Formats: sequence, structure tokens, C-alpha cells
Amino acid sequence: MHLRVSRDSLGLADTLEVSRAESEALVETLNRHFGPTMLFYPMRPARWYVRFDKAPELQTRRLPRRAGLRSMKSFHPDPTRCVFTRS
Amino acid sequence: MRFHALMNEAQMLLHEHPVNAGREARGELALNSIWFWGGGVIDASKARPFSTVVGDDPLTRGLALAAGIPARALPKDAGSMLAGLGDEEWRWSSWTPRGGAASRAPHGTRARLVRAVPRRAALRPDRHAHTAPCRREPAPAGRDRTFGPALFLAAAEGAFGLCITDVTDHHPPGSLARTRPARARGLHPVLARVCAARGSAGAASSRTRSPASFRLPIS
Repeated sequence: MHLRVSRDSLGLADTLEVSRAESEALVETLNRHFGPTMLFYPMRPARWYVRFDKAPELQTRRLPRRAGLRSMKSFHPDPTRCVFTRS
Repeated sequence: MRFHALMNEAQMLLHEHPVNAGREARGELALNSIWFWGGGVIDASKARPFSTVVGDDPLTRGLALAAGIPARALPKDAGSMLAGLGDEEWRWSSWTPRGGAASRAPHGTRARLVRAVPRRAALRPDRHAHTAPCRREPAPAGRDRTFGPALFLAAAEGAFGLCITDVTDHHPPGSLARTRPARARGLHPVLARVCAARGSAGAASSRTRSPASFRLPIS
């Protein structure tokens, strides 16, 4: 996805066109760097699966359904709560 | 905070990646972040009833991957898949209607299916399975006719142990779903036929069952 951070807001776009080649090139770089610590599988260009060597203490949420780039007022950096929180 | 450190590293890698440089040069948004969601712990004591899984759905491939089974992409037609059949046992997983044909199968069939796929997750919908091209081609262009008979013959010969498919929510002319009622009530014709092929001849001897004794659903 595309994340845009400005002084007082956070925006994201998840409706990106991603080619298989782009996806695989990115994942190849990530996997070369992280190895088994965080191993990505690009099952679909815009949908990857990841395997951690140690389960992270995370509570995640589905990407909010939204089209285009919009701002998100609330951002919780505490990974024990969630990655992102919808405002 | 370990996860945050990983995320930061990943974002830095994405930020400086040539793929994103190219995207920005074309005026496209960069892929500069990853949204993590879902997840769980893999069951280490996973049964592995299949030697090969064929299917394009992420769930199908993911399950195969997690079980350490080779996952192959769906071929263009059944002919090319069957042409590659050797001594290797093939297992084909595509999809079954939500709610499960397996749960409504005739007595005996369910046990067989459950044995074949001990994890129910493998029976969940696989929207990108071989019927997907039918959606893209409103006129089926012989797709079902290509897949159907070949699959039934292969099932009758015991070439693969599980074939879950679906043509129920889009019945193109001449589709398997319309040509003949399911033998079992509520069971999809394809699945019913495949189950019958495996079921009536017994476990080991089903491999030698003659395809001629198995009536094709498409005339």
C-alpha cells in the first residue's frame, strides 16, 4: 500500500495497481534482507503472506475499506494494540 | 518494539527500491508500506495427505506451502494437466460451495472427503480456481467440456483423490451444472461424480476401474 505522512495527518492508499514483476522484485529485496526473520510470500501482487520466526505480539485489523488516498486522524504506534486504528 | 523495528527497516527498503523509483517516475504512487493483518500459529502436526496441490487461490497455495507440499499453478486446461500425469499422485483442490457440499454428501462420502482433507480450511472457497476463466468468458468456449470429461476420466482412474470445483453461481450454456442433476441431493454434479468414482470401487481397486464404466456427464 501507499502511506503518506504529513505534519498532522496520515494517509494511505490501498487501491494500487501492482504488477507481479514489481511485487516479486520488492519481496525478493525484503526476503534477502530479513531472511527467515520475516519471510514474505507474494501469493498475489498486492497480497503477500508473511512468516515470522517468532510470532509478533500484534493485534491487527483488516485494511479499512476505502478508495483512494484519505487521511487517518488516529495512529497508534503501540504494536500491542494494533498497527493502525481507524479514526 | 521488535515489530516496529522490522517495519521501519522494511519501509526503508521499499523507499529506496528501484521499483518505486520507476513507479514515481511514471507518476504512480510508491509501494512504500505494508499493511499487516490476520495471522496465526501454524500447527506443526499437520497431516499431509496430498503429494501435490494444484490451484491458484492464495489459501490453497498457502495451505500447501505450510504443509510443505508442492503447489502448482492451475493449468490452462485439464488436458495439459492430465498429460503430465505420471506415477505421481495428483490432488486437485479448487473449490466447493460455502457451507460445504461435503456436509451434504451421501453416507460414506463425507468420511472419505474428511479423510482426504483433514483440515476443513482446504474446503473453503477458492474463487480463483479453474472456473474463474468462465467468469471472464461469458461464453464458456468449451471450457467445461474441456475440463469436465477429462476430470471424470481421471477421477475414475484414481488419478487424483480430491477434486472440488464449482460452476454453480454462473451457469454458462452447456455447463456441467445444468447438464445432469446431481446424483446426491444438494451435491454439486462435479463433486458427486468424482466422489462416486472414488467411492463405489473401493479404496485401492478404484485405480483400476475402467473409465468406460463411468458415464460422462456431457453428451
